[in-house]
Amino acid sequence: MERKLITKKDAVIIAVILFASAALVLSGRAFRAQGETAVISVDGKVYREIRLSDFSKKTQFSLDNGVVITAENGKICFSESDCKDKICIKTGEISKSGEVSVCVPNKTVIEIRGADGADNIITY
Amino acid sequence: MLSAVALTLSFLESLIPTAAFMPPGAKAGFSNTATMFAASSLGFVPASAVTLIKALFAGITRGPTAFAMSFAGGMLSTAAMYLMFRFSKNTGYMLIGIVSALCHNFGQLAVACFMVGSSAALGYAPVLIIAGVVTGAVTGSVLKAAVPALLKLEKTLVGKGER
Repeated sequence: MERKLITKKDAVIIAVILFASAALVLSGRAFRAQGETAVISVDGKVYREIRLSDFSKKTQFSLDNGVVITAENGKICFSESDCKDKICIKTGEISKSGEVSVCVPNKTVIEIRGADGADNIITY
Repeated sequence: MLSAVALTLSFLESLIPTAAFMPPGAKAGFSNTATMFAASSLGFVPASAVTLIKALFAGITRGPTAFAMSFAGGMLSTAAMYLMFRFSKNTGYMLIGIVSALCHNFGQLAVACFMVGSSAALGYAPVLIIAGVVTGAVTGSVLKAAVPALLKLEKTLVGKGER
């Protein structure tokens, strides 16, 4: 029998995958609070921890692996990198607890943490 | 010859500017149509060869990281495709495309986590899953449409002994 493009069973599986992942993305977005600190790690080791509220003015950090990280107004992003894919830069500014931006070629990670290190607690 | 097709598709794809709504790192994966054809009609070894050549190409143009990520994702996804084509007669093209796209993402993320030395790269996972479902569905559908034509081409070439 010729293989079909899609069967009923497939459609159900696809719907379940889509629904689950959409729920994951939306719940992640909705419950995220403004983060307190940004942890920059290189090669798995913490390089520097930055309190985001300390940098209302534009501040740049140049790492010796060719990465420049810019913090401004409680947000932080990769602004320059000598890697070829630039996925880290395209990720853009991150500011909410639990968000990450990664430059794989330069093994550099920025992670936003919440007030007490916990990612999911909302405080008002 | 298929590898050439894969490379061409890969290259054409890189020319398309990343649309604003696409999450960082996500690509349409057109070249996977070629891998998928190899996995469905030629067998596991040719499909792996296409994957390896694709990864080498990625390595030449975008560096060793791209090679490792492309190869890990590609092999995982090729294995998944092959197993589904071989052992599951009633799984449709679309679902196979989606599952292999997700395997591709997963393999790449695993390498990313390993290289970065932390699990932080998994933060990209949810968005990549959605992108994978969409692009996988497209890849599968395109393949379904292209298979008859490709098989005919294959026959003509083999017939002429130009393989």
